[in-house]
Amino acid sequence: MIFLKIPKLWNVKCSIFVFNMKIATRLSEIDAAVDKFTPVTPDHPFYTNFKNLRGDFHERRVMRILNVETTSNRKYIFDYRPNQSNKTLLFFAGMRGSGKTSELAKYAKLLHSPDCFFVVTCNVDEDLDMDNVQYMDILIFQLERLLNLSADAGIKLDKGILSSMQKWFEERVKEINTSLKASGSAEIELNTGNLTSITGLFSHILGLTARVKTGLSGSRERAETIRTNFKNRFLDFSTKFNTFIEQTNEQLRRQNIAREILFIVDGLEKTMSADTRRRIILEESNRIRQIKANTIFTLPIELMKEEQRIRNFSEIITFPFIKVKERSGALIEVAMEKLREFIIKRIDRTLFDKVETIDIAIEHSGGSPRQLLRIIELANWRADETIGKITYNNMEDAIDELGNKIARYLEPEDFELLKALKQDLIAGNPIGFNSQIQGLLEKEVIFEYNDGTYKCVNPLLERSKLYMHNVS
Amino acid sequence: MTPMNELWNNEQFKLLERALYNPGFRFIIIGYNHKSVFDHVRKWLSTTFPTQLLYKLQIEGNDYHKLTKNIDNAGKAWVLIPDFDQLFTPKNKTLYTAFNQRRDYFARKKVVFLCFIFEGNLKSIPSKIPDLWSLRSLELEFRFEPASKTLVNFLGSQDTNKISSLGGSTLAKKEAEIRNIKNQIDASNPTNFVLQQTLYSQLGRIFYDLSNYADAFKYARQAYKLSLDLVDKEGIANSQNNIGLIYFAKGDYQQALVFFDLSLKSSREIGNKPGEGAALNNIGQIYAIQGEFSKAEKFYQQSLLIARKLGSKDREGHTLNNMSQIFSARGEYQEAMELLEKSMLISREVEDKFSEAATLNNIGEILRAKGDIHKALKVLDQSLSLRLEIGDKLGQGTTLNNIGQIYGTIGEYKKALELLEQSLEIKLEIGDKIGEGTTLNNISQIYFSKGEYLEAQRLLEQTLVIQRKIGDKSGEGTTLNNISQIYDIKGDYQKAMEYLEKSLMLRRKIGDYPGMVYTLFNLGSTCLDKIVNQYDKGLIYLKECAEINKKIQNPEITVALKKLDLPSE
Repeated sequence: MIFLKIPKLWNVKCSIFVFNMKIATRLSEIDAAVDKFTPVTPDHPFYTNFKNLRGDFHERRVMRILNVETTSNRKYIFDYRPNQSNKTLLFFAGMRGSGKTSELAKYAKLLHSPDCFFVVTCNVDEDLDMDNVQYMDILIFQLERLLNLSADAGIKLDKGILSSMQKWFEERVKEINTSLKASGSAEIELNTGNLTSITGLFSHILGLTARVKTGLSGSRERAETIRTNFKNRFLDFSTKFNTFIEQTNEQLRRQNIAREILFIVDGLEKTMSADTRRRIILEESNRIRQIKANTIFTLPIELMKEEQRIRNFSEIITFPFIKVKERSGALIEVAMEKLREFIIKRIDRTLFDKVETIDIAIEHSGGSPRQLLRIIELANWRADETIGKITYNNMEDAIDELGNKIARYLEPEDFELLKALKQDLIAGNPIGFNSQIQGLLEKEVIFEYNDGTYKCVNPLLERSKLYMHNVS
Repeated sequence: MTPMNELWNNEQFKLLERALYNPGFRFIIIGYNHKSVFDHVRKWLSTTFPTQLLYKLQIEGNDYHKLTKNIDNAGKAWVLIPDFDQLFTPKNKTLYTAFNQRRDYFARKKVVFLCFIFEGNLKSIPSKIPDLWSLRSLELEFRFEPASKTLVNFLGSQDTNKISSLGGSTLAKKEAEIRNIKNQIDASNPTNFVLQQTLYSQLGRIFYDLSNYADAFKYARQAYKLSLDLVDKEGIANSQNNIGLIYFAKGDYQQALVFFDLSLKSSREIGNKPGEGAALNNIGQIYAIQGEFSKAEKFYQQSLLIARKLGSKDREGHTLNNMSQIFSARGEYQEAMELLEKSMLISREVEDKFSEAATLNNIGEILRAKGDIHKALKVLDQSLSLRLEIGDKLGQGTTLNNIGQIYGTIGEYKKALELLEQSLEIKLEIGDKIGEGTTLNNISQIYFSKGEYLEAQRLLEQTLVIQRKIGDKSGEGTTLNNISQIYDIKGDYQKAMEYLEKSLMLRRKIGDYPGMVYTLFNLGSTCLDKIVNQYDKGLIYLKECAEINKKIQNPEITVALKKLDLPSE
């Protein structure tokens, strides 16, 4: 029998993002300033509010779905009393690089208050180290996060509640260990610890869930054993989970910490292959439905075609790119202005030779903040350090290079589709959805706007020689 | 190298140098036309960044955990992956999915990846690792000529799936949990209906597990009422189903049917497919119990269809198992066995050991019914071992009971009693009252077979008390029938008839047709043989027995009726 050495638990703090970005005043500082990965929240100097520039998307829709009222002095209030049993399940869909994580980080900050929610953010891609993530794993992770944050926030849960959870989990771990032992796998450690005090009980449950989560990161067989046990008892698990959520909600209100829990689960779309993401709507939706907790999940845009199915059990909102151009090709000045602000907050304007250099980058961003940063990053790497600025030529070269690089991912049939797309766009027809379109979305060849009916070709690609030769 | 390629490569190196100059997360894709590119680039890196550690990481031969461990061990070294193509082979589907998923982790750790991929395989990247790809830093292509005229060597060729656990597994634990939940109800805000609903629902379930149907009903009804107040449609459907289960357990099949039907309607109204499937399955069970097998089969088929549509393997397995009972009851053992084997495959596929053990148990029962005692014992032993392994006490009790019965039928009474006593002990430990009644009844049968009628009667009377207390009407009907046998053997035929008539009345009331045929047969044969001037009455009983048996096709009754050689109409 082999016992795992479980690392000591530590309290994970609520704050997720580390701010070490400052405005670039030299070319060598631009790399850090155009970090495409780190999202920003409203309190950060880099934050730019793209309100009303994302087509049909409006923050108030999200708030309405969450049953949150915004007062005149920008206070967010959640009234838990109406529709007590109807918890919000919201899928937040958007193209990669549209700013979903930043937007959710914003909500996490705005809504985390005594009049609103106790926000529990779970970054699946950060914290779940496993090669075959399933919904069960995410649930256990959510529970672990909740326990951690509850401890941090000093939520005083009743001993009876904790005892009930602790016993249930302990029994599961014992059952799992029986199976693991039979198959020769390492068991999950079961510490006894101090179970008489509330603190002791709390630590014990946290320890159990953490170890279960660690166990899921182990060998495939081990993970399956753990998952199977919980899946086979899913009805009981969901009953326990839901009861715990509701009891925590009540305690949150008693202690005036918040009205209810809100989970924000970011990264769900990264955890699976494309076909598995589609399957989740059919298979896992039943389990997702059974969990009665306000939850926002991120979702890849291609699943919008399953919208009808998804709407059977949840709400869904698209978070589109910023619209930079009208269908006619005319630039939307207010969007251009905002995106200039987006850049200038990060990079001093004196590092560009002229305004047109910034504008050409924006025009070719397609309204994707991430693509815009990528263009500037490459332009910076092409810039002559002796000149100390990014020139219009540097920007054009970067645009051309990126366009050509995207083009090389295209197959001959993709070009055929792009030709047809171009005809439809000229005629003003809405563009539907199929697996080929999905492939082009994945490759960032086409971008979606509004609710997904308006699509257009990535402006970078339109510059590429291959595209011009095959389509234009 | 041609001047053009040299110029090109210099341009690529310049970009690479700028990209690597500042620290930060980098995902750099390097396309090559020849594998020597890797060595060229590595050499260049060592020269240009002499103090920077480089770490070569091969995909080939490594699983996900080894890869991430190696990436972690690399620390601040830049990670060079010479065979990045290998990530996209079909066998590495979970690997590239996981790699993609860990994007944010790598980004936060500021890992620098330099990933070498044959230029023909570049197209895999955006579709297989779209999230990681969307954070790409740089895409480069180097062109080097091979040292000798050999064919280009690709590094990687591309060609291109019960008692509940609430409250624990013993009576003491469940009772403690009941107290705990009651305290939680008292401590909670009385206007928090959502919390109250889930707590009452849990109580109902635990009392159900303990066969305390009165309390189960009380709390299930409270949960139901709260669901109605909250207009929680899913909660309403679930509560209706749970109340149906309680009625079912008590043998009140008519009421159970009412509630399962309500649950079915409620589930359909809100498009709750799993709820619909469960209700269909439960309705099927009622019809099966009542011997209405073709009706049962229809409902099971509908339930099966839903389970298959949902891809819910465990439910599919359960329904197949239930369907097998129909065929088993009719003596169609071959068909029953086929369904059980299908159910078994599914249980093994989803690693549902509970269901696997239950299916093995049922296979054992069929083998017993077919008279294949040796095989039956072997399979039941397998079921028992599995149930011991997973700690399924309820299941252990059932299988021990079944093994005990087999030993009883082959005359090994000592062994039979040993096993039945073990079964009883477990049932007492977990508070399974229905099981307690069943096992006591079976123990009484052993004493009956041994000729120890007083002991048999004592046990049956004890069983009756338990069954009446918990409202197990089906069990009560059986016990009344069995008590009549004691009086029959003692020659007290009036008393025997009294008990048989009570049994019949109860079984008729709850629609227990499979049970009724036994009681009707016993009544008929007693009137015919043992009571004076009751011949015609006997015939009436037997006629009704034969009528019902046409539908249920109980082979034992069929043979017994044939032996009587009754006059035809």
